Amino acid sequence: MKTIKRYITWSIICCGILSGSCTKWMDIKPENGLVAQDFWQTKEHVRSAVNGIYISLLNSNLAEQLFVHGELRTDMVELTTFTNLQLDEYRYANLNSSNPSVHWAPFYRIINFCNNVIENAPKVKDIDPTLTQADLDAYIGEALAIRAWMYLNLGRIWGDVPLKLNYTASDEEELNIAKSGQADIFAAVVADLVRAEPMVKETFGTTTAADKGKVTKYTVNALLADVYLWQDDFQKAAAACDVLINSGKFDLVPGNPSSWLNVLFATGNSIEGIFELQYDRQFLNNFIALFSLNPRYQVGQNVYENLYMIDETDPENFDIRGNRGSLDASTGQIYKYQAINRDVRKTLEESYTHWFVYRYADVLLMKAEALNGMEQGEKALELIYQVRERANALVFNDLAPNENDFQGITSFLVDERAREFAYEGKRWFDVLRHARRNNYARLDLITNMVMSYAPPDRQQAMLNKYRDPGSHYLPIYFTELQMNKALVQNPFYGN
Amino acid sequence: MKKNTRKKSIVHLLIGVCMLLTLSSCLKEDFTQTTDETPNIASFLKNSADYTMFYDAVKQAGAASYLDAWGTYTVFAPNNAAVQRYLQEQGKESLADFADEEIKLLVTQHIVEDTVSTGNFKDGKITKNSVAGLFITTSVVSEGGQAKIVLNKESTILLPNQRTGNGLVHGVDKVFTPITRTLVEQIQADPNLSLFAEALAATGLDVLLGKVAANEYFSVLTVTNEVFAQRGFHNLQDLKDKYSHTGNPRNTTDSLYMHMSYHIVKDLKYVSDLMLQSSHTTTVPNEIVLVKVDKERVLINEEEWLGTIELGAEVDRTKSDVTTKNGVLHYLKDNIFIKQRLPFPIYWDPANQPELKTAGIYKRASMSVPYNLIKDITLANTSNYYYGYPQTGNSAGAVNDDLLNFNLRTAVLPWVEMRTPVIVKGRYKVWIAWRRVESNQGPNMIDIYLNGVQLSRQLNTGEYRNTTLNPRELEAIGYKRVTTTGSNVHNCKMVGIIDIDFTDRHILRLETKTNRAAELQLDMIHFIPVDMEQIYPQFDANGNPVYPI
Repeated sequence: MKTIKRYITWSIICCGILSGSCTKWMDIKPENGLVAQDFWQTKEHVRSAVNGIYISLLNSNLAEQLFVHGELRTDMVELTTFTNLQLDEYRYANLNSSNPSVHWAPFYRIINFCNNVIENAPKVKDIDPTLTQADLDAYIGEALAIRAWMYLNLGRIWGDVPLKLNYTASDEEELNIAKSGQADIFAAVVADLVRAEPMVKETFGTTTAADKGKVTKYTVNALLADVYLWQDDFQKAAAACDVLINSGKFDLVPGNPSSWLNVLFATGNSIEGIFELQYDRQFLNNFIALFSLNPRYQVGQNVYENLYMIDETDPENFDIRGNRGSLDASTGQIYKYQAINRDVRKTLEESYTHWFVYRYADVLLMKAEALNGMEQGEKALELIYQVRERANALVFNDLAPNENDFQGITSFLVDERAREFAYEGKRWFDVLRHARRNNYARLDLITNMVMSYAPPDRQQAMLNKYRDPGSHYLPIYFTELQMNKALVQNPFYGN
Repeated sequence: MKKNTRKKSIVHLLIGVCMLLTLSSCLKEDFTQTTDETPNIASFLKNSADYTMFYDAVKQAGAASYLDAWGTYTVFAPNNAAVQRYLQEQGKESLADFADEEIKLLVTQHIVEDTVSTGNFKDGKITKNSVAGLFITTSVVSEGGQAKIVLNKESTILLPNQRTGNGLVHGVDKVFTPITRTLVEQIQADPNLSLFAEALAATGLDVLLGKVAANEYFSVLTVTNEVFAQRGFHNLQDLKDKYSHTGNPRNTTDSLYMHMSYHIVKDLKYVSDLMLQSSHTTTVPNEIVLVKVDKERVLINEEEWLGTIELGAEVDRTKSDVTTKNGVLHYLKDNIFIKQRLPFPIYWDPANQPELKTAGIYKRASMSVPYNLIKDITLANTSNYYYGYPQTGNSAGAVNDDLLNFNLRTAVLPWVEMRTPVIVKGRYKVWIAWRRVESNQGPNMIDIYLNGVQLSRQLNTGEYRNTTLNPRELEAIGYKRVTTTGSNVHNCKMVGIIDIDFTDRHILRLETKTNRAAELQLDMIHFIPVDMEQIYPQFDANGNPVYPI
């Protein structure tokens, strides 16, 4: 009897302890972080989520991705002995779906951060009345613009991609999404940007770094101009450029050989900058390592001699973007991202030259492209010469096309963009955008470029692949195909 | 009572446990015994929808066993439609109608003992031959804006890079046609090459091209009747009249014999192989063909010669690359000729290299040259060297005002090799001009080799130029003055006489067995035919030749 009583007492005590610990266990939260249910409560939460998007632009290796996709398939670079097989296969048109270079994860990762803000930030307004509508709009606008930028990249790199416009919080959600066509992707980009345009701020009113490093009305218009050009909507592209040109807030950095490089690139956030990825001493990039210490990429064989050219008779007459501008001729290294000025290089600890998403010269040349598309050759040439004069481009590469020679202007413009935006991740997209216009009327832009860097034993194979437009877009990485059953591989890459 | 029940229940429990144990040990558990479930090639084909007929052929040829075992293979598998079509072409009812040998050849020519993915394909043949010992060529063709990978110029890849446990399978749409012809048979089979074939027969070269021997291949640059006609040759007699100076075309010194054998390049060279090198040896002793690549065009013997451009013959790339048993056949859009060249002097500034010009350095600035920058200069190791411009102080007066400095000593850089400009065959004196340098311990002694043959005289880096002898006396002891403005630190020595056997670019090697801290500061290298003026012209600091007044 005594034993039974003791049993009962013990079991009651045990139950008490167990049930107590149960509730606590169900309720435990991390001590040094926030969980989803506690987030999206105050305006500070919204702010930090938006800042998180900007941080993700820096820490997801986006700049190198854009460099690889924008430059690797072009005559601007050459691979070095530090390179690896995956880049080799990419450059020589031997891509397949197991090449890690074709993984689009960094882009969708950033898109998901944007989706999070776009979907959840509006709810905060009800909880925290101190969040004004204007601020909320600005935050959402920034997220929309960055999402649009990411989809613009996806559309021009992979062609058809899945369009995911809502936030993914966990793996349990339905993630089998089919591809949308490239045209639909670009339409979605335009829709996002048009929605964002009236929402974002014209200036943050704090530092230049904020105005150049975060999305403003001008960033949105630069993006709009870009995507309109991909849609061949020249009227709207020119109008978007005009918003920047007429604002009076931007200008070209004067082409003084001793200061130009320092002001525009080494220091950054100049009057020419529109949207720059803001690396700094606290947040270094890996450009010095990439272009100088163990350079994987170096200057293409013909860049200095045939693109920028040399004045044999007068050494003082040179294109400031050439030797010791974009490149260092004596070492064959890409110089733009390691320069303090013409003579001095940055050290590893100073590797914080920004990544230039858009700058004013780009807007001028985008407008020139739009004007040329609208058959206003004279005005287009004026803008091209404005950019050339700043850089002291040599007369030898002035193709001097007639104002009615729109194909000639196109070739001139594509070359000029190569000189102006060397190594800024634009070359391949420039060539592709111009080549594909009017049902690939200028396929020669691609084939001529490929011919200039193809090794002899691969030349024919590469050329014939590039004659197939399917090869201009990348395959879908195999893990994506395994996980998302709704995806179909791009036909060029077979099974 | 209570105690009893408890005892009983324990017994029951025990029995139950025992029964469970026996039961579980009875059931045989189905363990996976392999570490990988990927099918091997044979089972991949067997279980595929579209390649079962080829699997039957594989089985019949006795290849199924090794294609299902460990190894690395690549199989170009024709689909069922392709095999069906092949049966029809051969007039057979089924695979069983083929003889063992036939089916074996059919199957083995689709198998390569290596893993070759489409990423390894280049223009031309894949690196390894098929098990049947035949070449497989790959190319990419563009058809209606679509790129296709085509094998052996006939069979398109439908299903690329199927990874299996022991290799790769590529599904193709046509059975490879077995290569049965020799070069001669291939030439004879093409009616457009009838004159070429006749000429080969007349010279007896058809025997050479009809012979199949291990590791002996030729690449023939053929000329069609049409092209011959453009050059005024309508029949064999025209060719004989023009070339056959001895009257007997079978004579190896007869010009027609040499003309025809000049179209035969040694070794197996597809167009892409031709493009990789600038010159290729032919079956004519000491005669080469030069290859130049101009964008997509491949030109034979197009070259700039003494300031004028000699037009070459373009290779017809779409028709070329015809594989045969003993070589490959190409088609030219014009005829090629052996060119008679007279030896002429080469005054070579080894720093005049395209890479230095591209870098904007040549005759503009000094630079430490990375060891691998200049493709025509090869070093013993990865030490960099130095391009010095302009020369000042007592170095001033170097030709072109520049020097190429190699730290040539056993501890740093034991040797350096340079590819010379084209030297016409003939007999030459070789002169080396340098700026003298020596250390406290003395100078380095440098041996000079051309194409691996050592020249008779060594170079002593510390030697001053003798200023007391007159130029002809100096020449007699094998020295000369090269710079008009430089002091006696600029010396030039005749290092030997050489016979150049064939007109081409050659390899000059500088090697030292000493280890003094004295660089070789190289200025110029001259190759001057023995019967020509040796000591003039001299050169000024701008590189202009200066003749005696």
